[in-house]
Amino acid sequence: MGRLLVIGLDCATPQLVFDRWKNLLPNLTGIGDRGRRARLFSTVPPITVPAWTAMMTSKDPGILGFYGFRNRKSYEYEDLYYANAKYVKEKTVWNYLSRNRKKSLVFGVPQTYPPKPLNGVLISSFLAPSKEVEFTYPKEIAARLDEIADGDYMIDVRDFRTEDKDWLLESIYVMTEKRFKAFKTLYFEDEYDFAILVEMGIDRIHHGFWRYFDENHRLYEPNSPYVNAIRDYYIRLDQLIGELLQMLGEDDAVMVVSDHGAKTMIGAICINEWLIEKGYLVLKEKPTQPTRLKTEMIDFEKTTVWGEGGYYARLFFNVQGREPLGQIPAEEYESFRDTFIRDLEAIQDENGKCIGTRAFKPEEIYHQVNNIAPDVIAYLGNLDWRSAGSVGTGTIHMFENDTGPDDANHAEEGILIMDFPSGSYRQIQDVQSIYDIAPTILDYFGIPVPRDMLGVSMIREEVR
Amino acid sequence: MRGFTLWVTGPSCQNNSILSRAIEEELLERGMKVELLNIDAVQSCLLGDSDDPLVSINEGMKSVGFIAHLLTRNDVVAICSYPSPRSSSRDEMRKLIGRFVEVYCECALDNLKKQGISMEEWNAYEKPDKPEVICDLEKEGHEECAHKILKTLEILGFIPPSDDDEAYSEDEEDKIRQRLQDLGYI
Amino acid sequence: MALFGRKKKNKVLVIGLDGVPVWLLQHLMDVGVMPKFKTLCEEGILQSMKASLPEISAVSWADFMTGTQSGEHGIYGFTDFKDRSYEITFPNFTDLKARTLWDRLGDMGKRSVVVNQPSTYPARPIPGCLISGFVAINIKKAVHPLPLLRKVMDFGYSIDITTMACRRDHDLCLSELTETLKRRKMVVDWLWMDQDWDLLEVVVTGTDRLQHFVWSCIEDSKHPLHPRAMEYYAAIDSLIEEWVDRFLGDPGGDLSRVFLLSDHGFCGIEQEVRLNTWLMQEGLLSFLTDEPQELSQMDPKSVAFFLDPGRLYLNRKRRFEQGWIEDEDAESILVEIIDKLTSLKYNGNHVIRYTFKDQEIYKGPHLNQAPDLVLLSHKGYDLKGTVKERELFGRSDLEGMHTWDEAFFWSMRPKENDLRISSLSDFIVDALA
Repeated sequence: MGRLLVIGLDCATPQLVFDRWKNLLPNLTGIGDRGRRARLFSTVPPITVPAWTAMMTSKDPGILGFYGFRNRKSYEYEDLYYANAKYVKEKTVWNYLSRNRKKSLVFGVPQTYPPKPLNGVLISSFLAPSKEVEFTYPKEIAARLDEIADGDYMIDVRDFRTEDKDWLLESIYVMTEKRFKAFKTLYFEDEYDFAILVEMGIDRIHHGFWRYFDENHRLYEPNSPYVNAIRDYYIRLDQLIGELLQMLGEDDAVMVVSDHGAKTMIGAICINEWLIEKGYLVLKEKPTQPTRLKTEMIDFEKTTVWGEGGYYARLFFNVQGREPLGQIPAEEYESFRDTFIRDLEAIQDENGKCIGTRAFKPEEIYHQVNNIAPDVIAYLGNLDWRSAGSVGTGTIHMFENDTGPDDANHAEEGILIMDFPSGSYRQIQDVQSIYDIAPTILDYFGIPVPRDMLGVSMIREEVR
Repeated sequence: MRGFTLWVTGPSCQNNSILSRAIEEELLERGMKVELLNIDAVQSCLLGDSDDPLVSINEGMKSVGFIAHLLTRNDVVAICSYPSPRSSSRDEMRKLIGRFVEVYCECALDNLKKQGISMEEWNAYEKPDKPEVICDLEKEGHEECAHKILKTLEILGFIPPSDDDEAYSEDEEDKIRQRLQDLGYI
Repeated sequence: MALFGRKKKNKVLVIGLDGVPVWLLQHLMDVGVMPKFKTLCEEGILQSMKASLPEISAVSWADFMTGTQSGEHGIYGFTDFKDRSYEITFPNFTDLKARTLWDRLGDMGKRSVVVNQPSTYPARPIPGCLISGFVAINIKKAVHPLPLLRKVMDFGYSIDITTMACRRDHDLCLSELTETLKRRKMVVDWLWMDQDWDLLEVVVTGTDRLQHFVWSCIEDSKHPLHPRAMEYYAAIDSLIEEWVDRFLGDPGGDLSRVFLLSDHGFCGIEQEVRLNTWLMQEGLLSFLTDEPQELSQMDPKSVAFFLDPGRLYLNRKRRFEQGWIEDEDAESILVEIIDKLTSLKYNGNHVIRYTFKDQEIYKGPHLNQAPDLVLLSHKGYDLKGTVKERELFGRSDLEGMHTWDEAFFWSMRPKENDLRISSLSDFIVDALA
């Protein structure tokens, strides 16, 4: 077999890549035409952390033991901690490849900071705190990164929830160009069996510019100068991908994946305001202006549920014998949760219409539930609405995000496009699972797929 | 990182081989340069010419030891699970190579019999006096044995401590800080 | 004629009671709370012993298990500086740079069973088996060899009480202490029978917890928790009785090979003394922020700073990346600081009892890591290294503090002048030689 290149486009979404702009993206479309394409079903929840790690390990968030960027440390009422690579205990594809003497270039995969050793080179993602820390393996690479990225490598755009759209757009382009340049330079410096590059720009541009191109968006501005911002960026990305494809030989394979998709966000449900209204959450003092909820503001002796904001809602229960001032009797936990879920499912929009919220119980959707999962995971309006954690907003429905402008929410399906040289695939459905990516990669290199991986290989033996 | 030789020895070649392959993978995963010198890998070119199999093996062992020595001094980790029943030969290797870690893989007689090893072969095996690590694959299992070997290599300074086994993770550091504060120590 | 004389295998039993001062033991014997210990004192010798410097468990137990001091073993406290920065790190068992007595016994072919000795986390292989003690966060990293872990957890063993909750709720504290002691005993009893050992060492750390959180319930017989506290010490006395009797019944067991000790003494707190606040008031320490939370936020132009409990560091060029004090200037600065500290008073009473310079008390390859000065306070003055307090003196809800020269040692050995905890490991090794 030859080499394998995986291009990760965080948040790249099928309705744009496969449908709307199919003809404007010759490289991405070409890979799919020669090989296969499918929508890629993400994790629950469909967010960057844990989706990329789930993809690279073929383990679900419950097995991994983290359910988002921020997770509860313990059943105490402290604030959440940020899950970094130290919390990833499951083996990734590059761990297995290293064990089998295959060399990997791992560039920008989320949740790889702090970097761990491997056979090859690893450059952490935007989750590294800054370039001042050791964010590459080997550590000497970091010093060269600025130089090979044409000066000042950008780990991420500084603040994508900003009003300054011109600045944001420029930053996204600069960041992308530098990343691709650095990746190509490193790729040619050595012989890598496996290489993966994850570009964050699409996620940033979706969140920042969705309202300008989607006529259905509440804040759509016709004739905005940014109407084609997203489209043009996809086109540029496709060109950069074309340059990467030129690096490959006949025997080499390529996959393009995204960790989740995107869609219009109607608005935000102030989940904690809703909990207060329903009597689940009681604060010591009601704030008069929008304030980020901190656990020290909560009167836990009168509270049964509190929530966290994000693209989906995490709900935490205050249980007797579990939390220090637990209120829900342990034996009533399940019945309480069922009632609570019914309440969640009945949430309405500002006009009184039910928004179709979906709720999940961790033990029902994960193979194991490690560390501390939220008691309920909710897709507000089936992800048409995000969750805003602030209190003191005076309303349950908000149409500007509480943490800065953000137009798009995540969707459950991302993209998968692949071209394996011998072209021999198992049955590829319209929607494939994110857990099938890692097994496919290992299978391509002739490495037996570990039995504890959740997915299966998508290619057949003759491909190798 | 400097090279060293990990010499896995014991009456059961099968167990030695299994264990050495497990360590090879662990070290490869940690990005190290590793070579495995077991009998399968070197059989065709390194076995000596003697008719007496034991003599032949000992001659082969000298060649394997020499290769391990070259690898070690060029900062590659050499894992040898080549049959090495004579303790004087192993001691010679230790002297030659210097950065040398001996793993004695014990094996109960019953298990040896199950593997088809004769009493004669078992009697020919000389136990090491002071191996750096002693383990028993049947009693302790793969993971425990591998973990013990890796931990010993870390303690002796041959390999850097792994992140997983870092004394305190960030999370633990927070808990330690809290615990010390609770008791008024900080 | 004995044709086959079997060589008798000698064994040693060590029981540690963390933080118990010699005079408290005396008192508890006098009031009838610890009758077994009283019997032991009729047969053997109870003497006072000096702990490490500083007089905290992290260092004292390190002195005990290595038979030497911080200059050799490298542990100077629960905290230390990370390399040449002002960042704080928490030294652990992997940072201990000298061999332990169990390693020495291993060289002699002897096996040790060690349960709950502080400063042994994370657990590493020793000849025998080890369950780490304080500060140990994760039981899964506190047991060697690993195959013992499942059973240890099945016993419901816990390394420590939940310190945060117990500090607030003293009732809970006593309940947890009793429960933790019970389960620790179960594990020790199991290992006693299950393992082949020459040395068995167990340390009870609950005494230190009780004494930190509710010292008043021990001193004051009218305190509502006083009866329960006495019950706790009585339970420990019963434990000692059971284990010593069992040991004497074991082949190889003999009273001459029983050792009981503590790692430091205790007394009630009169006032906390915030040494970094003192330095700030003296203009010797400043910070880059108005409300410092950590020492690492210090202004590199500072002259000196403290780590808990009373370790003074000059901001030396050779020691710290951003340090500026040359060695030849250090002595005069130190003399001035010592002068001022020794005149420090609270309500007319001197606060500082001794000041030790590094070379007076440490020697060895790790001397360069040592603090310039180690302070010992008069009883009742609890030295603190916090940077968050504005007041030099004050109180928190903690009631008890450590003392240096009141640890206890019981054995059949004759009394010694100036006994140190670092001498004990030789006693143990000699007993098994």
